[in-house]
Amino acid sequence: MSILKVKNLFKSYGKIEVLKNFSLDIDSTEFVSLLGPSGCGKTTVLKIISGFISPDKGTVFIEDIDVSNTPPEKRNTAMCFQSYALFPHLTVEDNIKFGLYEKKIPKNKSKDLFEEAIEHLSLSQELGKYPNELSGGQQQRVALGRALVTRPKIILFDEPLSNLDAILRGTVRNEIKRIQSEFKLTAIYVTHDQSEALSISDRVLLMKEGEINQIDTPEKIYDNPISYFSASFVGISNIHHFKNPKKLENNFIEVDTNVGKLKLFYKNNLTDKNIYVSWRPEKAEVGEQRENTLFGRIKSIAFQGAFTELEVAIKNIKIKIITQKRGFKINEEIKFGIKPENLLVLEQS
Amino acid sequence: MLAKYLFIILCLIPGLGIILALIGFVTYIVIMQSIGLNNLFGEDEFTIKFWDKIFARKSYNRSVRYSLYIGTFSTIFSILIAYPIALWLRKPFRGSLFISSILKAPLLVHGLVAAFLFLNVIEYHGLVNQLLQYLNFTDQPIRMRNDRNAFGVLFLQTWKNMPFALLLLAGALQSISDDTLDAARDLGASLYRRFIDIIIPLTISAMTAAAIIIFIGAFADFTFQKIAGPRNTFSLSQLMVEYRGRGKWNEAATVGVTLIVLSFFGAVLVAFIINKLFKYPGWLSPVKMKNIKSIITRQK
Ligand SMILES: Nc1ncnc2c1ncn2[C@@H]1O[C@H](COP(=O)(O)OP(=O)(O)OP(=O)(O)O)[C@@H](O)[C@H]1O
Ligand SMILES: [Mg+2]
Repeated sequence: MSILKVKNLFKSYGKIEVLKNFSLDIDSTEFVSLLGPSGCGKTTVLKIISGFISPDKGTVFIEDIDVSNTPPEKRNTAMCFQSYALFPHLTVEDNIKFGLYEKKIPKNKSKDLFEEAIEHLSLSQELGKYPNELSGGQQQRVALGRALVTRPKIILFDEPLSNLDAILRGTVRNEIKRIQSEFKLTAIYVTHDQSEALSISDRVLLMKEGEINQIDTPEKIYDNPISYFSASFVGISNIHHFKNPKKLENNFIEVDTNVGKLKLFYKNNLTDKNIYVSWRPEKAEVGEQRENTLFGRIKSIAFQGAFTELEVAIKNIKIKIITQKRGFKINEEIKFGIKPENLLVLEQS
Repeated sequence: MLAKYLFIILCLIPGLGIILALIGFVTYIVIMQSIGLNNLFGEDEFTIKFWDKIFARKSYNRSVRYSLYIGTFSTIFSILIAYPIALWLRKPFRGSLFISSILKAPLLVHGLVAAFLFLNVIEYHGLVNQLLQYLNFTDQPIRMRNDRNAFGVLFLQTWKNMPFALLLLAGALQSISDDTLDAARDLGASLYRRFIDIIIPLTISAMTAAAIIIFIGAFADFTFQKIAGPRNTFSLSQLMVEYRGRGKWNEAATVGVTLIVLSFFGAVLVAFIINKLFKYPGWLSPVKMKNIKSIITRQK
């Protein structure tokens, strides 16, 4: 069931177009990440959904009700701020109870809601403390508790982990995911960290300059990037410009690239926009003789334990390879192949 | 550890130490003189006759009431005026820096100068009266100088102290982040509730500091009172100077002690009231009101 519909949003600041025809449809209990580079308009989308910014054009529906003219305090959304924005003059308990008070939830019901939140977030030890007496992770949990205690229809996260150190980030990320599924919350999660987006989302919405570039499950985004942008922004890709596509039998095509001729499998019809071919570094099969056999010289070797990262030059073109094989030497010439179905055709954008 | 504290204390002595010593010394002398000891002239003898005499004086009691009146209302007016201005200036806008600098100008004008300027404006033949006559509001000039209710003094005190309150309150308000206010709004707090539950509680310390300092200053007012105050009432400081002028040092000391004691308790009371009213959830907060209501209904 669709819980949030955002239709054809436009927003400009002066001459800068921040959102261009942005639409989105989210199902109940879904976890959707908004992934994109800095300044692409992620926060703006969240603020339009929560009501702090009104769009120039476009509509927001929550449970099929147009909330465009509803102020933030009356919308059933809750925001988790990057800065946490805890109330410094209130204890953890009062911070979490704040929404219950303000939304005038009856006493007996609010007691249950409060206790449930405390239990799930394991905050019972910190109730009497003030925000400045908490660790970063605890502050994050309080912010989460404060946002979800009133059971909002949609919970919005704006880069909630960016103030935490790397180790804590992983823990809190899993905690957010756990709580989201335990409370059956619908969540929109803004981040510019691709691994964060891939690891906790049901769907990832990839944004570029105020537009949706690709929206798909994490696996599909990774395995089937449709554009130059998504292939290069999510994970690592080797991308080559191609020319002179030639149709072969059984949906195979052959193209000319700067590393040589490549044969690839592509069912759809090519358009003018399809000018790139890409492949993931781990798809190279080192030492194997296949249809697309390439030769290159190793320029750098980075052993990572489970795998090795190689930088290989083919006629001055640098490409990346990830392999489980070992025992490489700098300047050694290697041979590798890529299966045609692992070569992807990309759009220009 | 001990050495560290000793070091800190030694460092403080040249500055803070001298200040504390002087304050302590003056306070000591004044208290002693008010009970007949440490006299400048004549024999020392412990007695409470000066207190007896002064408490019986109508002029003294009137001065106490009058000074409390000036102190209280100057404080209230200064903060009531400064608060909305500080709110308005919270977010910088074109010209806001200019406005806030202009508003702080009275801090640099000496009280005496301000008082004389003020007199010129409200004088029998001053600007205000001329304007009123010109606009045909009145045929005869109105007497505004040295008015009985000391509105002139209150005006001057507020004019002089409002910028100080503004300075402290603006600082406190500007340190409240937009995210904090947005978070409150997102959790369902209306404009009124954001004001009562977030903004006011976060400015309590600034408000208390401003209120205490303004209260003590206005309570002990001499200059404005002397120039623009009512003729039939003395402020406490004026009364003290008056006694001293007549060579009655012990009586002057009792008034001095009154000033010290009432300043202290006044400051404590001001802090107490502000905290009770505004600390989350303060008496004004709907959260508190609901609790109070539920207590009342349960008792019935
Ligand atoms: N109040 C404003 N006035 C003018 N321009 C603004 C305003 N708010 C945002 N912008 C611009 O809108 C664009 C999108 O901003 P937004 O905050 O949505 O980016 P973001 O994707 O959240 O970036 P980040 O990852 O850095 O947080 C930016 O170019 C920003 O400069
Ligand atoms: Mg942002």
